[in-house]
Amino acid sequence: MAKKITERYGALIILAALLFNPPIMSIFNSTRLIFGVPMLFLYLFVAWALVIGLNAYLAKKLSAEQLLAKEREAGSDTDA
Amino acid sequence: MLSGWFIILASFGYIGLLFAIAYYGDKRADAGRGIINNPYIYSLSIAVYATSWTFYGSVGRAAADGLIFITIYLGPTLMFVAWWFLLQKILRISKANGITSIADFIASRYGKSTAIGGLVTLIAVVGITPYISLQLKALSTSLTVLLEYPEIVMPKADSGMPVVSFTAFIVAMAMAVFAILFGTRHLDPSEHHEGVVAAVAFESIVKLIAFVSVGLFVTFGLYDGFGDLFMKAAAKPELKKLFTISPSSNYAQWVTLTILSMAAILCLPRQFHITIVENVGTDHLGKAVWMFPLYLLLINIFVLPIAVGGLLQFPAGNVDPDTFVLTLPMSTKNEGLALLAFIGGLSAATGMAIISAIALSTMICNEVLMPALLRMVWLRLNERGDLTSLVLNLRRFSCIFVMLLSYGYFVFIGESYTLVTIGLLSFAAAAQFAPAIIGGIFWKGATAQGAFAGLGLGFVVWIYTLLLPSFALSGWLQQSFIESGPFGIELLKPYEFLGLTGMDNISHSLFWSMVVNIGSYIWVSVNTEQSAIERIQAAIFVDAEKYSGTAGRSNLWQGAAAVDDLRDLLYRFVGPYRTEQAFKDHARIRGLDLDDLMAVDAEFVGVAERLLAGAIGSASARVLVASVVKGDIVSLDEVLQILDETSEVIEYSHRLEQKSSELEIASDNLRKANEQLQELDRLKDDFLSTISHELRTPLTSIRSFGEILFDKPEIDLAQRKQFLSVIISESERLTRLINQILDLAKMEAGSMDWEMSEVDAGEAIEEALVAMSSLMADKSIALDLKLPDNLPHVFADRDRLIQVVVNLLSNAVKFCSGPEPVVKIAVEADGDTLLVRVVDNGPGVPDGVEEMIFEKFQQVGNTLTSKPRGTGLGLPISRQIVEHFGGKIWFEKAAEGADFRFTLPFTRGFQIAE
Repeated sequence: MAKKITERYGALIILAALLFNPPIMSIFNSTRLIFGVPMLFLYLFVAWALVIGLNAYLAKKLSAEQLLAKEREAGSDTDA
Repeated sequence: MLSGWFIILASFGYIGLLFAIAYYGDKRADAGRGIINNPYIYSLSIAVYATSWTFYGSVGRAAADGLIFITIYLGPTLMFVAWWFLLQKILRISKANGITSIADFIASRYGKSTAIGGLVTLIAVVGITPYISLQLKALSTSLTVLLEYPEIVMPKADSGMPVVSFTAFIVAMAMAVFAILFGTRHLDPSEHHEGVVAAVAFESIVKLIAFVSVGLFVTFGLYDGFGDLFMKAAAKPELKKLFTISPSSNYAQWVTLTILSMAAILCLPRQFHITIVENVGTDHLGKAVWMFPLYLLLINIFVLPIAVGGLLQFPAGNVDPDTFVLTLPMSTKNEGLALLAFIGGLSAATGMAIISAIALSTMICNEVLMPALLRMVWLRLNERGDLTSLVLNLRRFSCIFVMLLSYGYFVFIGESYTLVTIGLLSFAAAAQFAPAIIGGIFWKGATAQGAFAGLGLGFVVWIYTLLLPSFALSGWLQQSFIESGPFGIELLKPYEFLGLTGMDNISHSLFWSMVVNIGSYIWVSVNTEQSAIERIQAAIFVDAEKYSGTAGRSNLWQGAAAVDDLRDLLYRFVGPYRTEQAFKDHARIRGLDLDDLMAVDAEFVGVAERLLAGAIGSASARVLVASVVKGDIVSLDEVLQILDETSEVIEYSHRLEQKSSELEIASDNLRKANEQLQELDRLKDDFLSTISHELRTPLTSIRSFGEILFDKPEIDLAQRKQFLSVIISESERLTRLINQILDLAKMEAGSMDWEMSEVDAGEAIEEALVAMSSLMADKSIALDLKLPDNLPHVFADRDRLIQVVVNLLSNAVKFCSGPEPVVKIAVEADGDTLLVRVVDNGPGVPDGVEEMIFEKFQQVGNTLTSKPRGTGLGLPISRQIVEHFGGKIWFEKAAEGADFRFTLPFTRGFQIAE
C-alpha cells in the first residue's frame, strides 16, 4: 500500500513541477484575456487549484487506507 | 471617525483580543481540553507564513514585476505536495526525539553537537532579524499612511514621525510581552504553546478576511468585476506587461524564487516551529497538506487585481504600491475597510513576530546560553536548586533581545529597502539549512564537520553577497563596495562574484551560497569520520521508519544512575509534577516499583534525557545527564547492535503472522513429504526382500538339482537330461531377471541407450508375434490379429517396442485358460496416436490391483506360496518404455480376461489419411 502511495505522490510532484515552471508555463505567457482575465493569471490559479485538489484527493485516499489498515490490524488482533 | 487616537486604540484593542484568545487557549489546554487539537487550527497556524510581506509586499511586487510574486506561494505548495517524502519524515523524527527547534533538529542529527546548534542559532538570528524588522517597517508605514487620512501621503524616508517610530517600538515590545507571557509560561517538555497557536490561527483568519475584502472591494466596488478591471488595464501597455513574465530574465528568477520558497517553508525557524514543534497530532499533517496551500491560493487571488487597480487609480505614481491595500479604501473614503485592512496587516505582522520570537528565543536559550552556562563550571549550575526559572528567564531575556534587535535593524537600516527584498534576504539565509536537513535525513554518511562546514561557509557567502551589500545600500558601508568591489577588486564585487553576471541579486547569492554550502557539506563529510554518537543519531534519523517507536528508546547510556540524582536533575528543569508523572509512566510500562528503586538502568536514563531534551534541547540535556550517569556512553558497536536487535525484533513481529501461516503450509507439505518418504522406504524394503526372494528361487532350484546330480552319479540319462534342462531354464530365468533389473535400473536412472527412429509399428508387432508363435503353438492358443495396412510410423526404439509387445503377449499366453484359449491383438489408429490392445480370456486382474501390477515385483497371487509365473518386472519395464516413447500403458477392465492397452504417438507430420 505504502509503495503505491509513494508512487502516486512522486507522480504528483512531477506534475506540479511541470505545471508551475517553464516551458509549460510559457505556453500561457501571453497578454491575451480569457473570460476577461489574463491568460497566465487564469492558468496559474487553475493549475494551482488542480494540484491542491489532487493533493487533497491523495491525502483522503491515504487516510482512508490507513484507517482500513488499522481496522484490519485490530481485527486480526481479536482473531489471534 | 478615523482619527489617530481611534486607530491606536483599535490596534491595541486588537492586540488585547489576541491576549484574551491566547489566555483562553492556555486555560483550555491546562484543563486538558485543548482547542487546537484539530487539523483546521493547525493549517491556519501554518499560514503564519503569510506575513505583512504577503499582505502589503505582494501587491508592490506585482505592481512592479507582474505575476512573479506568486512563486513565493507556489514553492510551499510544492513542498506540501512533497510532504510524504520530507515533512512527514521530519515530523516523525522530531516527535520521537523531542525536538524543540530547527537548531535542535540539526544539532541532534549531527551528534547532538553544541557547535552546530550554536551556528544554526547564529544564522537564524542574523538571518531572521531583518525579517522581523520588516514586519515592524510594514506596521509603521501602514500606520503612518493611515494616520494621514483623509490625505494620501507617503512617508518620507528621513522624516519618520516620532509617534510612529514610538508606536512601532511599543508594538515590538507588546509582541515581546506576548511571546513571554504565552511562549515562556512554563517549561513544557513537548514545547507546546496552545494559546499562542490559537491566537496565530485567529490572526490567519483575520488577515485572509481583510485582504479578500479589499480585493472584492477593488474588483467589484471600484470596477465592474475582473473583466472590466483587466480590460481597462490591458488598454495601457505598461500595465499589460504585468499580465506576463518577461521570458529573458524572469524565467530564471521564477525558478530561483520557487526553489527558495520551497526551502523557506521547511527551514524558516518559525515555520519549523509551528509545523513541526507545535504539532499536536501527526495525522493533522495529512489535512494541512492541502488546506494550507488552499489558504495561500485564496489570499493570492486578489493580489494582481489590487495591484492593477491601484496603478489605475493612482496613475501619477506618487503612491507606493506597497500601500495599495490600505490606500485604495482610503482614496474612496471607505473608512471601515481601511481600518480592516490595517488590522489585517497588523495580524500578519504580529503573528509572524510572535512565533519568530518564540522560536528564536528557544534556540538562543537551548543551543547557546544553556550549553555555555553549563560549561562554566565556576557557576556551579549543577548544584543549584530549581533551574526552571533560570531557563524561563533566559528565554524571556532572549525574546526581548530578538525584538530589540529587530527594532534596531528597523530603525537603522530598514527604511531604505522595499518589503520584498528584505524578505528574500531572510529566505536565502534560512535556505542554508536545507542541505543539512535534507542530507541529514537521507544520507547516513553526512558528518558533523561536513554540516558545520556547509552551514558556516554558506552563511559567510550569504553575508558577503546579500547582507553586506544591503548595509552598503543603507549607507553603513561605502557604496563603492558594490560598484567596484572591496579595495577595487572587480572579481570580488558582491553582486557579481567571480564575474558572474546576468543574474538578479537573490539568484546570484543563492547560487554561490548553495555551491559553497552543498559542496563543502559533501566534500568534508566524505573526508571525515563520524564519532560514535553521530553514527547513532544518523541511523536514528535516516532510518526513522525502521526505528519508529524505538527511536530514542535505544539505550545510549551504559551503567546506571542513582534515581535520586536523576530526579533532582529533572526537578530543576521540568518540575516535580512532570518528572514524577514521566517516572511513574515509565515504571508502569516496565513493571518497576518506583519506591524500591535505588538505581535506574540505561533505558530509564534515556527516558529522562528525552524529557530534559524537550525542555532545554538535546545538546544541553546530554551534558546534564552525563553529569549524573556513572559510566560512559556505550560503545558504538554495542549501540548499533542494540538498535539492530530492536529493529529486528520489530521486523520479526511484523512478519510473525505472515510466517506462522507460511509455517502451517510448510509443515503440511512436510507431513505429506514424510508420508511419501515412508511409503518409499516401505517400497524399498519390499523391493529388496522381493528381489532377494526372486533371485533365490531360481538359484535354489539350480543348486538343488546340481547337488542331486553331484551326489547321485547313478541317475539315468533321461532323468539327468531333465534335471539339466531345469538348471538351464532356471539359469535363463535368472539371466533374464538380472537383465531386466539392470534395464529397469538404467531406465529409472535415465542412463539407458535408446536408439530412437521412425518405426513401422505393424512390422514390429508382427516380429514379436513370430518370436512368440512357437510358444503359442505349444499351448495351442489361437491368435486373433487385427492389423490394418499402411499405419503411420511411430518414433520409437524398435527393439524396445518389440520387447513391450513380447512382454504383453507372454503375460497373455501365461494367463490364457479355458477350453479355447485365445489371444487377441488389435491395432488401430486413434486420432494422432496408435492404440495397441492385447486381450486374453484368462482370469483377468482382480479389482483394486489394476495399478499395482505395474509396480516392480507385483504379481497377481501370492508369490511366496505359489510358483511365480513371471519375473514381475515385465509390466514395469513396459511402462517405462512406453512412457519414454511418449505413450501410455494401462489395464482396461473387461467382462472376462485381461485387456492391456498402450498408445504410441505417430511421428509428427504423418497423418492417418496418407
